[in-house]
Formats: sequence, structure tokens, C-alpha cells
Amino acid sequence: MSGDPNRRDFLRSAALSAATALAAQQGSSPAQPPRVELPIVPDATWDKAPCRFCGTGCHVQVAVKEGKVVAVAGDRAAEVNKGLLCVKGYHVGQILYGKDRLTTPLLRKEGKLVPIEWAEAIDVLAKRIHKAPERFAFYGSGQWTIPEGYAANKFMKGGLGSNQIEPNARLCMASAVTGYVSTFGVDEPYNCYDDLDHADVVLLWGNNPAEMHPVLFSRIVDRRIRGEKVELIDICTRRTRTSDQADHVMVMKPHGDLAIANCIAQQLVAGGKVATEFVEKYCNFRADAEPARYEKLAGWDDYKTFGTLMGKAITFADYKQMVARYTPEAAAEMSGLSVEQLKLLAARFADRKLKIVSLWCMGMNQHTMGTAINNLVHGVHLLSGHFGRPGDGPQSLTGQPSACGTVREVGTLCHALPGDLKVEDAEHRTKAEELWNLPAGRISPKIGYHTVLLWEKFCTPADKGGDVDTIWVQVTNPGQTMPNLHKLFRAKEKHPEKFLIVSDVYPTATTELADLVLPSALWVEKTGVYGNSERRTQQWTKMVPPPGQARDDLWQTIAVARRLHDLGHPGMKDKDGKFLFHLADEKGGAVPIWEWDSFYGKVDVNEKLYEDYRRFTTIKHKDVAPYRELVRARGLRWPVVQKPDGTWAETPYRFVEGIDPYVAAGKGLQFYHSVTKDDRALIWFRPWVPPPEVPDGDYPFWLDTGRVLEHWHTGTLTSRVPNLRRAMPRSYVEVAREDAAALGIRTGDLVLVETRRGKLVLPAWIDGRGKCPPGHLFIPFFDERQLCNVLTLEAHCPFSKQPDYKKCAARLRKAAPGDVKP
Amino acid sequence: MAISGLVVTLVDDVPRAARAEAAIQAAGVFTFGEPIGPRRPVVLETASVEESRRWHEWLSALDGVAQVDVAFVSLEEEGEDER
Repeated sequence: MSGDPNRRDFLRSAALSAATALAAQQGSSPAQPPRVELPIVPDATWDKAPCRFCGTGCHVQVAVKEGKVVAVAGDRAAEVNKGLLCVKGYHVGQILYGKDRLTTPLLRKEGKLVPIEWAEAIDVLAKRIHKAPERFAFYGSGQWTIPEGYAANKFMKGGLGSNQIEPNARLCMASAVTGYVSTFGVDEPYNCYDDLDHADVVLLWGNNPAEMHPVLFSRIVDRRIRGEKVELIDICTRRTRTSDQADHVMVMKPHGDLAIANCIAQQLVAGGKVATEFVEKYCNFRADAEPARYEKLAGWDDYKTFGTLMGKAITFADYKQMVARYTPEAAAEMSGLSVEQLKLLAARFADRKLKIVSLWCMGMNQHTMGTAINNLVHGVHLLSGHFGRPGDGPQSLTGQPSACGTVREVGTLCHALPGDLKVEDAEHRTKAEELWNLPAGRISPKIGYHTVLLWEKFCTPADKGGDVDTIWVQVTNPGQTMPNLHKLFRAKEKHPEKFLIVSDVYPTATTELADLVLPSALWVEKTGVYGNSERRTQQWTKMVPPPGQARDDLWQTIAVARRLHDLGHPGMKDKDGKFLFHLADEKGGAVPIWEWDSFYGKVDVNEKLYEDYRRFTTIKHKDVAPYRELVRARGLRWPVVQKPDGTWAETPYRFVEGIDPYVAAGKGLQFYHSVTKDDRALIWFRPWVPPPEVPDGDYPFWLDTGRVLEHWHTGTLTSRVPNLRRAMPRSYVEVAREDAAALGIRTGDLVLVETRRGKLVLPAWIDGRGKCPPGHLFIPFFDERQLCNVLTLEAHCPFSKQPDYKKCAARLRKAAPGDVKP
Repeated sequence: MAISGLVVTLVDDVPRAARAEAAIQAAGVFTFGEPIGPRRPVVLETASVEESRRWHEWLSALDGVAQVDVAFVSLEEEGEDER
């Protein structure tokens, strides 16, 4: 093929036209409508899809020829990425074609995984659940499509009457959820990426968008290239590629962010720079306890004894007293920043003419005080009035393509129901039962186990309280991502009575211990809907067939539900005796969507389930767009409300009069799900406390883990892309030059990193991709051969239950021959 | 054979930008499109994806280049993944 000169000419021409169009678009003003012509690839058809990787929600155009993806291009009609793609995004087509795709169901027999037929696989799985549904759990992710997550949620909560469903998103954005809920009374950002086009200052709180959200970062870089002034302030624990572009790099001690935020508040209060009119009109103050309680605060364990998610009302005088101790001098000691840096931050917030965007992701969320720091960052924006204007507000980013859409909105968490409803609330359960046509009382009020506890129960024998014995994992890889892996995953090996089912596309650290493996369809091998970090719901349509016998996760869930129905499980019927996932064709006849041949047939199962789900979203003003609108659009940001002329309008900014249709006239800003029921947001005080594990004489280093540009999360997909794998073939530990010199370590030397939970041998990289300060180590978690989570700590935020992967105590030395496995 | 469409954005320092542009032209593996302000649409054509990646890194590190964006990549001509 490569020898055909005509073909090469075509591809060359396609590449040049795409690059020229993108260059033209980058140079145009943001308001200019984009050009949407596509490159010419002979005999290929193009269609749109959101990228499969992070939570940014870029759209790609995908070229398909003879049942195979042959090219991708950035989608110039997409507002999110305006034609740009990052290095992962432009290789996204290749994730489908790794040679080791799982293509047939596998059942462990006599210790070996052997191929079986789908019918047997579904039967084994269904019977396992039928035997003890109360001991079964479903574990998914923010990579579930919205229909997949919705079906799993309905299957568990509406079918089995169990709330034992959790997503891996508990590990990545649960603290953002509790932060939003306890500040605004309702989850998810009020703002959107448009802010990046308007901000004067972009403040990064432990966030590295140059590598993790490169397309969003490009929007900032692009503004600077156009000559606009955008100040970039990077608050970090190690220098990254983002730091290279920053105007101010502020390297803090781990957990220092709490002190920094409180110090900004202290300076605003002490300096008379509180936005008094804004605060009096739109805010109330909140804390866990009265001021005196914080005076005798003894640390994180003590804080857990009195801290609560929703806290209690305090006065401004109380608040002033609480933040008073966070003077720049005191906060410098706690945070590691200089007094000058802390004053600079406060000065930016004190200037009402500036527009300031705060961005964060895992740095603030994977934190034992994750909810607290989320509250505090919202708080400094509210206190200073930097809120509600384009380019002026706090925004969390997410790491998965549908952490917002499928987890937060569909409610695939152990306490939630679709549409931001809660299982504990009797009215909410009644509403869900009504919408699902279930008998009263089907939905259990009992909250299930959060992720860390769920896996602990699974890895514990029944006679010691381990009351979960079967877990079905879809679209995630807990064998690599759980903290303290020996305890929370690998211990399963010791308990043959526990049964692990894994639906995935490639072999992973999780399938390694699985008893049943189900091959899944991936990305454009199926139809789907995702929801990104800015409330944008995005649809795509199946373009190519999955390989071998791989099938949609959605089909798998429905097939198991149907098998349970046939086995006589009463929960698989609604109150009229119809199958839980009953779908009818145009003539009213039931369509057997549990049969693979009928799944993509007479009805669009994804559309039907999405529309079923959409009814929930209007309850709390999160109205997602109709499916047919999404088919036409490059995503729409909810609430999407129909206008008198019949068209549908999205909402770039919630709570803002004139933009959000649910804000009453004359209100300005209206937090209509306010905790205090008075349309006000809450300005919280939360204390700085040291983290639960800090370096000491035995373990003198801080250990931090995270991601790299080339790989997405556990590398299951990106390690199958030759270009990405070659660019970043294996994991490493970043070591500061001073520490390396003291320990006689050179780049490339194998070193042993050890914590109280495990040890790992891997090569050292001195002043490499990132630059750690002395006493700090960093290991990326993408490498399945180097499971860095054997080292990490399962301690988690008391409210969000999200573990802290960013800080624990470790020690380091050159590896000895006996440390290295043959 | 690997073919990519890239957008190279040059810095606003004219002498440095000119030196970078000259270096890119001299490399012999890039075909230039019409310049648009500081942006240069280019096609990178190499024998392998590995070589393509090396050139991409070279571009990114070149003094006078502010940014390299990818607009298009052909997957059709790449070899099978050995994994």
C-alpha cells in the first residue's frame, strides 16, 4: 500500500489541507465560525466521536474504510478542541488494533483461562449472582457510556435492590463532587472551558494541564501567541511541563494547599478586600465546628472525629477568627511557599478588575482533605467576588471521558440514583421507582460500600467480615489503580471462594486474577454517549465492528439481567411483569435485545436507554439534551432547555441570570439548590492539618504518583499504540539531583522504592520529565509491569472517600542484585 | 511510511523565527503549506512512525518554535502493532 504513489499523494494532500485549515482556524478570533471541511482520504467515510481518553471531551473525526479506522483528524466544528488534538488523541484510532485484543469469553478452569461460548459465560455469571445477590457488586468507571452506566445502575438498584455499585471515579473526582455539593448544594461545575478564553490569570492548584489536558492548555498558549496577556501561576509539589510555561512557579509542601487557600482568605479579610456586597448578597459562612474547636485540633485523626460534610452555620466574625492564624508568615511555614508568593496570590484575588480561573484535577481531589481543599478554593473565589463572569471562577477538571456524564449525572455511586437523587432519601427512591415502574420499596435505602471498602470486603474472607464474594468489573482496571494493591486487590489470590468477572478489551492486571473474562467492544465499535468536564453531553454512532466475539458492555449487562429473569429473579421484572429492560418496536412487539443479533436491530438501544435516563435529569435542573439533538451536535452543555421556537439551547454558565434559564429575573446569581435553601453558596472554613502519613527517619521521602503525557491512566489502551509505547516505554522514579548525588544514584540506575505497604524496583530519572524538589519522589502509574500502587496509601478523605495517591512516606536506595526479579 | 499534518507556530521574535523556519526547510522531510501569520502548516513524511516521532520532538525542541500541533495522521500505512 505504501508503494502506491497516487495514494501517497492523496494522503499528503489530506494532511496538508487539515494542517492549513487548523492553522487558519487558530489564527482566527474565537467567535469566528469554524470551517468543517474534512481531509480527503480515498474511499473512506467520516463521522464524529468524542475522544476515548480524558475528560476534556475533544471531538475527533474518524475515517473508516472497509470496517477499519484508517485516519483521525481534530474536529474543527467542535467548540472544545477547535480542531486540535493532543498526542494521545491523534493516535486514538490505533487503540482498537493491539494484537492482544480479547476476542472470546474466557473462564478459569483448573487455574487456566480457557475459551468458552457467550451463552455459558452469561449463564455462569447470572447463576453466581442469583445464588447470593446481596454478596454481589458491580464496579465500573467514568469510561462507561451513559447508557452503559444507566443500565448497570438500574440493574443493581432497580433490579437486584442493591446499592453495591461503584465506579473507579471514586478514585479520581469524588472530592470534587463533595466539594461542589457542600458549597453549592448540587454537583458539577457552574462554568465551562470558555473561561480559558477570557481569564487574565489562570491559577493551577496541583494541576499539570500541559500533560494531562494538553488541548485545554493549548487554548491558553494560543492566546499568549496572539499577544494576549494571560498570567499563569502554577502551585505544585514538583515542576512539570506546565511549570515551564508558568509566570510563577510556587512549589509547595504536600498538603500545603489548605494553608495557601486559608492564607489568601486571611489576607482578604485582614486587608479589607472581601467583596462585601457580593458576599452579603450571595453567600453564607460555614465550618465543621465553633472557632474554639480548631484551637485544640490535634491532626487529621482528630479532625475526622468532628469534621462533617455539611457542617454548620457560622458568622463572618467566626470565619474571621478562624482564618486569622493563617497569616502569610504562618502559612509559609505550613505550605513551603514564601511570604512574597502568598502575598502575590492574595493580591490577585484582591483585584476585582482581574478575571481569575482556578483549575484543578487529581492534585486537589486525591487528597485526604480533598473535600476541604475543594471547599476552600471555591471559598476564595466567592469571598473575593471572582465568580460568575466569563473567565472568573473555579473549575475542576476530570480525568475520564464520562466521569461527569456517567458517574456524577447517572449516579453510578453506592449512595446515588440518576439525576442527582440519593438512595437515603425516601422521596427520591419513590420517584425513581415511579420512573422505573417498579413496585414500592424495591430500591434499598442502605448505602453500599465505597470503593476502598468494597475491595477490602472482597479481599477479606467471609468469616472475617468479607461479605462481598463476587465483583463484576467493567471498563476499568482496579488491579492497577487501587491503592495499597497487596491489601486491596492482590489478596484475592488467597481466597479461591471469591469470584472476579472482568469485561475488558485487553489483558490487564485485573484480568490476571479474573475467574471470568468477557471481551468488550471499544469506543467506535459501539454507539455511546459521554459527558465531559464542562457538562457537555456528547453522542457518537458505531462505526466499525468489534473484533471476534467482543460485544458491548451494555449488551452484556442486559444479557445477564435477562438470564436472571429467566432464572426467576423477581427483581428483573417491573411491577407490570415486564422485563426490566423491556423495549418494544414500532408495532409494540418486545425486541429481544438480550440476543446479540437483535441488539443493533429494530430499536436503537442506546437511544432508548438514554431517553429513559433523560427523564431523571429534569428533576434537579440538569436537563440533558434529547438524543436526536446530540446526534447533530458536537455535544451540548446542560441544562439544555427548549425555547419557544422549538429549538434547544445549552447553558454555558449555571446560576447566572440571563444565561441559566432556571435563574429568576432580578436575581443576578441564584444558587437554586443551595444547602441553606436561600439561594446562597457557602464560604467554608476548613483547617490545614498534616497528612496522615509523613516522612520520618525510616521513610524520609515524600512519594507522589500520577500520569504522563503519552499514556492514559493504566496504559491499557495507550501501551497498544506503538508510537506512544516507544515514546514512553516504561515507568521510572523521578529523583531530585541532590538526593541522587547523596545516594550515589545516576539516571538509569535501578533503585528500590519502599513504603510500609510494598516495594518496587525501577529505573531512576534525575531531573527528567518533571523535577522533584529534594526529598520528593514521583512515579507514574501507567506501567502494568511496575505497579506503583503496591506502595500507595489507602487513607482517604473522610467525606468523599477518595484515597490520597499524592503523598505517603517512602525510602529509596540503589537496588541490590537480590531486589531484582529474574 | 508515515504521513502527518502539523501546524508549527513560530515565536514572535523575527530573527529566531526565521532561523527556525530555515532549519525546518533544510531538514528535507517537511512540505510547507501557505503560511498563516506565525503558523506554518507542514506535512511530515517519513519512513516509519518512529522516525516521525523523532522529527516531531526535534521540531518541538527547536529554538524559534513556540508550539507544534497535530491536525492529521494517517494510520493506514503504519505497520501492525507487534504487541
